[in-house]
This record gives sequence, structure tokens and C-alpha cells, in this order.
Amino acid sequence: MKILVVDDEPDLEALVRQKFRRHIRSKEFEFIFARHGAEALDYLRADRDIELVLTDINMPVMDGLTLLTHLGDLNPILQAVIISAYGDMQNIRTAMNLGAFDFLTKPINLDDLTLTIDKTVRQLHLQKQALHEHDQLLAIKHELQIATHIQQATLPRRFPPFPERHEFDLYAEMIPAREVGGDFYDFFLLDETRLGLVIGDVSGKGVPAALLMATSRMLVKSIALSQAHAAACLQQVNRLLAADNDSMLFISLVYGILHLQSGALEYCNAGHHAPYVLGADGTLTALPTTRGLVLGLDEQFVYTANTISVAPGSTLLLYTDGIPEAFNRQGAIFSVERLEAHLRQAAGQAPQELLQGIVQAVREFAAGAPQSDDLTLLAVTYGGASAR
Amino acid sequence: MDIAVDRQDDRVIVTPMGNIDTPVAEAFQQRLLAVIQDHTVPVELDFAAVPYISSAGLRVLALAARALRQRHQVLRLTQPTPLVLSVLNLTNFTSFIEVSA
Repeated sequence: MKILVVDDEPDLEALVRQKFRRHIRSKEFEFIFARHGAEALDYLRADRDIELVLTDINMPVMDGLTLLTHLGDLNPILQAVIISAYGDMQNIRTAMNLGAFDFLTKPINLDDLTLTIDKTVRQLHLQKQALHEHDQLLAIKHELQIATHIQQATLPRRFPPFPERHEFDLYAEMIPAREVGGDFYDFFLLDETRLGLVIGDVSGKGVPAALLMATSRMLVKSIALSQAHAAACLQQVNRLLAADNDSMLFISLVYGILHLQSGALEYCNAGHHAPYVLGADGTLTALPTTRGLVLGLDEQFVYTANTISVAPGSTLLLYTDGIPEAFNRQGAIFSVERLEAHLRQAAGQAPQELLQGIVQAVREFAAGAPQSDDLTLLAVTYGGASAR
Repeated sequence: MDIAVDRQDDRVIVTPMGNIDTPVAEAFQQRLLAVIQDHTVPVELDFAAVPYISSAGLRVLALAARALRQRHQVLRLTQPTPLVLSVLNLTNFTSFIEVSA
């Protein structure tokens, strides 16, 4: 540790060199000596490793109190100990108020000098440790930001996604909670006539959830492109996810295949909230469950699919539990009932308008209560095979 | 969270009390897995005093179910409250563990 000793009289230097000769030899302490405050500042500016300053008060050029006023700008963990005339309470108080850690009085008692330096060094070690832990916290925070970024950046976010297609209008949105969750949506054209739709929610939060979310999304998409059927796709995804799942994290997910020629929707629901079909006239239907277990838990589970018919003008809505489970300051939840009531009066809205209206309704209900979970929505209005 | 453990001749009944969400999931997990490890008889969960379970809590059920499966036993959960039962139904956990009234 580097210690700067500032005094215009040379006897302190001799005293310190004598008293701390062992520390100097073992390189535990390295002493630097300055004759006044200005010279001390030069040393401090040139060498940022100096962590302790031992300074007299009355000196030519720049006194010790003025020196103290400059220390804060140099090194945040720097500690100063001042040396004052015995009984000079006025200057001691001033120095302490300027941030000095401790003081010594002249004539200097050697044992007291040693004790004071030891105590200050211990304080410095504590401070450095706290600073180190603070840095680690910042690093963790940064990691969480990366997780949020993973979650956000991998989702398709250009709308309309397929401007040349007129059979459907699609919009999706994911508003992440402050603590990273694991929601995602996805959509892709399997071929000229089939549109794949996915919504999912990974259990847990933070980096593990974000990573599993990215993996799951890629697995579903890549297997969907080679599997003609929704249930077969999820069965394969589930087998892969469950194979080495020691942590038993799981994913609730709906995968649907919308046939753009006929309006038929084949879907498989793995433990997720049932999607809705909202008719142009306001009729609302929740898609019957296919009784699939959430993905990732049971390698042997057999998934089944169901098919319904989506009439032209109807809108398909997929969402995650962040919507019905959003709560207000009184602890009440938005609820599936409120979502359904909102949807019934929102019939005829285009997907983007519909989703923004739902988010706004949830926000108005929450009335400033913090968002505890991701809000994720995907809506497709089917225009019919010949829509222009 | 309070967790009562009642050893009977043919099974151990574990009774957690309170919501099982992220803040308590870790404690619930350690206690439940320790009970499973310490006994050879099946473990049964009495959920009459659990108003709510989050996905962090469901994960603990999954870990327990897997530990029991490895010795060819099934995790049994009794007396779920309405909200817990709706979550078990929605996620279809009812096909992974045995749920009874």
C-alpha cells in the first residue's frame, strides 16, 4: 500500500522510516514524502495507487486543510489522516468535516501513529471489498440486461412481416417485465399456404429463463419446418427438452398451423392459456384444450392436436398469463373475465389496434402497480383465401 | 413458510402452509426433497392450506415427482384449493402427478 506523508518539517520522515522499516522492507507499505500540499497533489495526480495520506496542517504553499478539499476528486477510496497541534480542536473539526478519517496530535506518539495507520488500512481494505462487491453487482445487472436483450432481439419485430401476403393481418408484441421473464412469440410461413403461430412462456425468470426461451423458440421453429403436424412437432420438441432437463424448468406453449386456403387451424396446446377466436360480430370462443402437459417434463408424454375452422374476418388471439395475472395495487388480478369482456367490445379491430387496446386496458387496471410478468400477445386476422 | 411433516406407516404426508411462489420455492424445494430422500415410503402433499402456486412452485412439484418416479412411486397431491387446481389443470400437471380431492 502506498502512503503519502506531507509535512514541511523533515523529522516526521525520519520517524516514519524508522518506525515502519520492517513494513518498508517487506514492501507492505511504500512511503512517499512531500513538503507541502501542492507537492502532495502533484504526487497524487501522478500516482493513482496512493491510498492513504498523512498530512500536517500548517505548511507553506498549500496547507493541509486546502489539500483535503482536493482529495475527493482524485480517488474515491483515498483516506486522509491529519496531524494537528495538541488541543487545536478548531482545525481538527474542520479537517474531519472535510472528510479526514482520523487525526494525530503533535508531538506524535509512535504507538498511536502505528495504531492509527493500521486502523486506516483496515478501513481501506473494507472499502475496497465493498467496491469490489459493488462492481460484481453491476456485472450481474449487466448480465440481466443481456438476458433481456436475448429475449427481445430474437423475436421477429417487423410488421407487417409478410407485406406481399393479403390473406391475413398479423401483429405481435412482448413487453418484458423489469425482472427478465421467459415469454416469447413466433410466426413463420411453413410454405405458401400454411402459417405457423407460436406463443410460449418459460417457467422461472432471469438468465436461465431467457436462455431456455431462446432454445425453445429455435427448436419449435426448426422442427415445425420439417413436421407437417402440430402435435408431432411439439412431441419432438418435448422429447428434446425433457431429455437433459435436470433443473425441471418447463415451458407452456401453443403451436398452431393456420391453413390460409381453408381457414382451418390445427393447434396443439402444451399447458398454456387457451387462445381465442374473436368473430367480427363479437362472438368469442376459447379454443378447447388438447390436454398437453407443459413441455420439458415428461419425455414419454403423447401430445394431441385439434382442428377448428376460422371464418374470414375472425381474429385469433394468443397471449401469456402476464395479461390475466397483471395485478393492481390492491392485489386484484386483471383476470380472464376482464380480458374476455374487453375482447367482446373490441371486435372488428385490426390486430395492432386490438393488442394495443388490451395492453392499455391492462395498464389502466394496474394503475401504476409494477409489471411483475412479461405481457405477450399475438393476433392474426384471417381475411380469407381470396382477400386482397 | 411453515411445512408440517407427518410420518405414517405407509406414507409421509407433507403439509405446506401459505402461497408457494418464487420467494419461498427454494425453502419448499429443500424441505420436500429432503423428506423424499429420508424415507422409502411414498410422499403425499396435502395442499389444503396453499391458496396459490406459481410456476416456481410447480417446478418444485416436478422435481419431487421425478425423484419419486426414479424409485417407481408417484407424487400424490390432495385437497388442492380452487386456484391451485385450476393451475394444475391448465398446465396439465394432473397427468404428471396424481391429484385427488
